Amino acid sequence: MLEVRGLTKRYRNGRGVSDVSFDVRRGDIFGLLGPNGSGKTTVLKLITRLCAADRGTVRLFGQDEGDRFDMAMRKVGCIVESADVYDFLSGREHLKQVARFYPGLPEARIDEALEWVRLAPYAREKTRGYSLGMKMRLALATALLPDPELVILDEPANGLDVEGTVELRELIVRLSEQRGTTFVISSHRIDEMERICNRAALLYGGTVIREGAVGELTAGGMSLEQAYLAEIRAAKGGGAHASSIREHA
Amino acid sequence: MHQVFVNTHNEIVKLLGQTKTKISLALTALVPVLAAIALGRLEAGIGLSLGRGLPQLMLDLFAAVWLPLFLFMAAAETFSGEYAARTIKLVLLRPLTRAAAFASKVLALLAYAASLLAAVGVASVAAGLARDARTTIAGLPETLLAYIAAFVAMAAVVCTAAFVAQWLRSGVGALTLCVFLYVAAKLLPFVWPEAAVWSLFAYTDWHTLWIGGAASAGKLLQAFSFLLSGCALTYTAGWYLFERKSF
Repeated sequence: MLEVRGLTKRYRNGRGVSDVSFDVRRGDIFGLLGPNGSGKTTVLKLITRLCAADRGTVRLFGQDEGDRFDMAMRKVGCIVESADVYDFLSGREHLKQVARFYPGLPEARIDEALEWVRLAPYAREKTRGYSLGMKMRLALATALLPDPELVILDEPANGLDVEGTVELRELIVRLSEQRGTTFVISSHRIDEMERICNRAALLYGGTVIREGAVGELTAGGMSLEQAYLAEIRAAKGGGAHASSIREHA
Repeated sequence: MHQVFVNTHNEIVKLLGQTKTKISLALTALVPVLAAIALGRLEAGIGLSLGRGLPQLMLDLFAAVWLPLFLFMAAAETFSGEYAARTIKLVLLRPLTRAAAFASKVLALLAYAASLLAAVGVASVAAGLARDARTTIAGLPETLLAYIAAFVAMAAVVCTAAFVAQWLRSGVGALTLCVFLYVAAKLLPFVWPEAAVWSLFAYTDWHTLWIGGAASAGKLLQAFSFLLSGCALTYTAGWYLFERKSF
């Protein structure tokens, strides 16, 4: 569904990502995991063409992104970098703006999306009065509104309280199981993502240090967090590789 | 094409949702009415005569200062303001090419320019009818022509502002730069008269050429071609920068 090959982007400050490659298959809940500054958002921006890559290719639904990016984006819902909203529009007006891009989307779908994210009671309020968590939930509703095949979420739990985080997790799993929706989710909360992701790429310093099924990454009784730390130590040259730790275990 | 139409609709909704747009439109409709009242009193008091219809007088005033300012504000908000607030992603992450996104934003600004001109026109014709119905009715065909001509000049202002707004990522910065360039373009001909020929902003009063047969058809065509070419150049330059921008 999504193939990323050798994606490289260097910013003027020297930061960025280098030679990032991974595959996301249909139905995956794919975690793009790493600490702040590891390049997760940059990778998502390159996939969604918010910025141009220096090198590398992205294939979406089996087609090169350059071919018909706008057509491919019909089947993609996104939150990238932050849940930004127009503060002079209401939550409902936001969703109406998005809905216009998808002819044939029933009006009831807007109400359904508002219900999913528990924003129905606040739908007619201007978003300037929304809390950070409410803005994130509205952004989630806009991403899920067109019933996309692929949903890209950048740190979706930011600003959500415990209840909201649990609900988000349940919503992702439910959509994945019931509709076969594919998710690419970036997060620095590796422990949190381990609960829902079936595959993951671990990012550190702008490169993918490991990619694979979560079951493989955590083999040998390690948590994903432990596996990640072991990979970092190995990447820094200060410790054994996670796979060797697993073999030893 | 459908996506351009959809996003133009969205951009117009966003423009009209902003308080400053509502205030600009209200002011644009209110000033001709207030001007009619004030001029009526001046005429009665000191016998001052305007010499031309209120709708044309108002167009002179608005086309020189207020409309460019309101359009700069809208263009700065539509482009740089959205870059600063990061809400531009809400547009770019939809099934829409960047070319379509840019075109729809400019189209929305053009619709706004037409709305402002319509507000001035309707309010000043209504006020003119109440003040001096005969002169106002007699001048209606020329007034209509002048307002249509003014739209072409405002389209050049919109395209230039859309281009300038690509240089900065702050709405206030873009507005300041637009105003600075506009004032500079207006003042430059005082020290370098030839500059007036080459500046798009020098043509904001070209509607006067359409009134009372003030200019030959050749001159009108030349000015029209210059404005149209200016629109095409600044639009293309703005689109190029928008297409290459990282967000």
